[in-house]
Amino acid sequence: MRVLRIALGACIDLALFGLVVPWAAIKAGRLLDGTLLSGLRFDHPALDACGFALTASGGAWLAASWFLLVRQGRGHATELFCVEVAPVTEQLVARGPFAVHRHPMCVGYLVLLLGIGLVIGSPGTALMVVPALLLLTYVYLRVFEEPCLEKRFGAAYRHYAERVPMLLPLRRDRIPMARRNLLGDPVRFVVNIVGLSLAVLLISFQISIYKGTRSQITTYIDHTAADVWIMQKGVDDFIATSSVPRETVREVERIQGVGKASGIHAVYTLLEINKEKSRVYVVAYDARSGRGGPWKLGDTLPRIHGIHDLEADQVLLDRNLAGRHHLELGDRVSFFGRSFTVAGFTLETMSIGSQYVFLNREVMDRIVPGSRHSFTHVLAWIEKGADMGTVVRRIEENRALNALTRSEFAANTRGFLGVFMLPLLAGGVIMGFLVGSVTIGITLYTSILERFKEYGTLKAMGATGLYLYGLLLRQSLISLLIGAFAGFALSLLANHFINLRVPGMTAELDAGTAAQTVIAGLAMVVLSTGLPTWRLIRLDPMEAFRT
Amino acid sequence: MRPVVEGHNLVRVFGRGDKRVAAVDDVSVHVDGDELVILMGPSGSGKTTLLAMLGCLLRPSSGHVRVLGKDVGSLSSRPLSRLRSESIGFVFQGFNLLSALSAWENVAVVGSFPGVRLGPLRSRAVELLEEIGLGHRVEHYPAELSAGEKQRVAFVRALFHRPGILFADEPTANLDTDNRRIILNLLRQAVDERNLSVVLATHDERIERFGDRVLRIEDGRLVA
Ligand SMILES: Nc1ncnc2c1ncn2[C@@H]1O[C@H](COP(=O)(O)OP(=O)(O)O)[C@@H](O)[C@H]1O
Ligand SMILES: [Mg+2]
Repeated sequence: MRVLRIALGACIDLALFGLVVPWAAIKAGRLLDGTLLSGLRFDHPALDACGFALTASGGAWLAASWFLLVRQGRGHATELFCVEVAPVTEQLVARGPFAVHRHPMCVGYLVLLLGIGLVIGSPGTALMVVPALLLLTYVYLRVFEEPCLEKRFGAAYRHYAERVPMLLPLRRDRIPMARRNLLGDPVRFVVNIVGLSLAVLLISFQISIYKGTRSQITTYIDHTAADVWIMQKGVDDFIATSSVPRETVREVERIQGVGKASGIHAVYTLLEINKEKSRVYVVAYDARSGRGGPWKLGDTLPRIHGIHDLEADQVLLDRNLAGRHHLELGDRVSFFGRSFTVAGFTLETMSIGSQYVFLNREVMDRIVPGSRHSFTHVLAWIEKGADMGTVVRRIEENRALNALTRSEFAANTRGFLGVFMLPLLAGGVIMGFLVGSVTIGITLYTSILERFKEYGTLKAMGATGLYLYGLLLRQSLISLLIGAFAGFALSLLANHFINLRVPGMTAELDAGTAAQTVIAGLAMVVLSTGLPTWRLIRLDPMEAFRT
Repeated sequence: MRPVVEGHNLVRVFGRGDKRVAAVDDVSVHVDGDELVILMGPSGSGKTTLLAMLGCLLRPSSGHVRVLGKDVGSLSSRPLSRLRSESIGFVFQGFNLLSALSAWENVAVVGSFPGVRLGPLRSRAVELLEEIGLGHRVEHYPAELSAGEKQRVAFVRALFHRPGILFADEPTANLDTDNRRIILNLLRQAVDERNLSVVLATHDERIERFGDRVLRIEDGRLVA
């Protein structure tokens, strides 16, 4: 009978916590990733490393406490909603993990799930589902498990609960002065959090926009995915104009290590739509091979099934551009003194200040006389296993050519962005920094002014400047922690709005941005706590005697 | 018996020129172990200034202070802070509890200073509060306590780190008769039972009988 109950308990545990809960958690997390959190990127290698560490340590904590429960408590943990499936523990366990907090199995399990959320790169799981589960767990433990345990072990459990904290491994015997100071002054606390969340919003949103724009400007380079870009000597980004002879393509293809090469014409021009002019980047690509053409199509005319089907007077153009000018499929646009039919819309083809228009290369050859003997760029894809450096060197044996790897070319192109984006970025970040610092500085400073006597008393009792700095710093850090959560949430909403509603702009919040923002926040806290601390260090302990 | 605290030819001057005031003017005192010394004097006579110098909170303009035989004049502010958090306790006229902390946290706050090791904080604070009849006020905040209760909390706070000497500046001035008697009895009892010396500054003549010795101060000078 006993064995049967243990087996049943183990089965329920495994099914519930090994399958159902993780499955549901990840499912829900993925759902959130696709909707609410779509502006959040969660694929930094540091996050993976964190995830593995959390998964391993959470699992180890869970296993260690389970082992102790069976060994010392001589019982099992399957007691759901106070129904004893497997035989329950006969003895209260207060050692090992159970001396750190009262529910190490729950905490270990949640940490494990958090780790999995990070490893699979699901912000929804890690940031929303796991906290929600934590809340549920807390309620469950308070309502069901703890009263049960108290009934079973009586005063021994009450005594244990008084000594050992429930979930967070905080020392019981501590005086949480920083937290008390904050909560004892709710108005200032709220002001602090509002200020800090605003600071975090400003900084992270500004960096998000910068990064979004940065990835926009290289969208063509990233998506055509040519390994090497070949231009005329002296040109090394996608902004400057270039011209290379036609023979270059065959020349490059003959080089050992090069798989395929293809020429494009890429030129800025003005596109006329119903008498309105719009700046576009026209790319004429080889429609037969499709190389250098658009990579993601939206709606197209019925006869257009792909990027190979483009006829002489047809173009594919960016969907946002079309949307802005109310262009429908089949409408006419003109450039290079010719008129074209819009045959389809392309996606991910928006750069800052201009959009892409795609054209069959053969048409270009016919209508622009000068282009017949040249391309602006030649794109090359190298063979598997070939060495990039060697290939580039061989191409550059032709003195008239400049060859760059994709990442170099993209980096050079982005470099151009810095000139006008960086001041904007810096402005936003400095603004956020000021808002945050001033908020912390003023709220701390005024709270000190109100409590001279208390701080004087602390100093009379032997509190040192370092201790007081630590106290103020802890207060600011708690505010920052809460403010950062709120700020990042706001930032996600703002990104979401930008990506959905504002044409021509992209914003993405990734782990790097979050880390940069947090570092800025920490710098803000450390700096702005300085002035109030200085005031406290100068404070005369004789203040304690004032009546 | 070696004095716990001694002051030799203490002078403290405030202000300059016409505003120059010698708040304490050439005072020498000593406090022995286990005695309760009353420092009696009218308002403005220099009691607080003298107390602060003996308590290592205020540097004398001239003269020197010894605590447990050691001259503290040469110590910088760090070791002075350390000395206060280890050996000296204060009780103030205005109670000076920390408004954000509960009663037991106020009592034990010195235990949260870095480098101070006082064992389990809460249980010891609760024990002390129970001893003075405040076992039912452990989790209360200062705003929820009466004046008498506040001063009793402040009193055990001053004892928490087992100091050798306690300075009380007008500890009963803000209390009614009953609470005044309670606090004075607690101070008297602490001296008799805890291996502690107390210096109590007051202008209230009725307190005289609680002391082992009375020092009278007028215009910054001790009088016979
Ligand atoms: N910080 C100070 N600046 C100027 N004068 C002071 C200062 N502290 C005390 N005094 C003066 O020193 C004298 C003694 O003050 P105090 O020690 O507070 O006396 P008591 O505590 O006996 O009332 C008074 O005249 C007071 O005005
Ligand atoms: Mg005084």
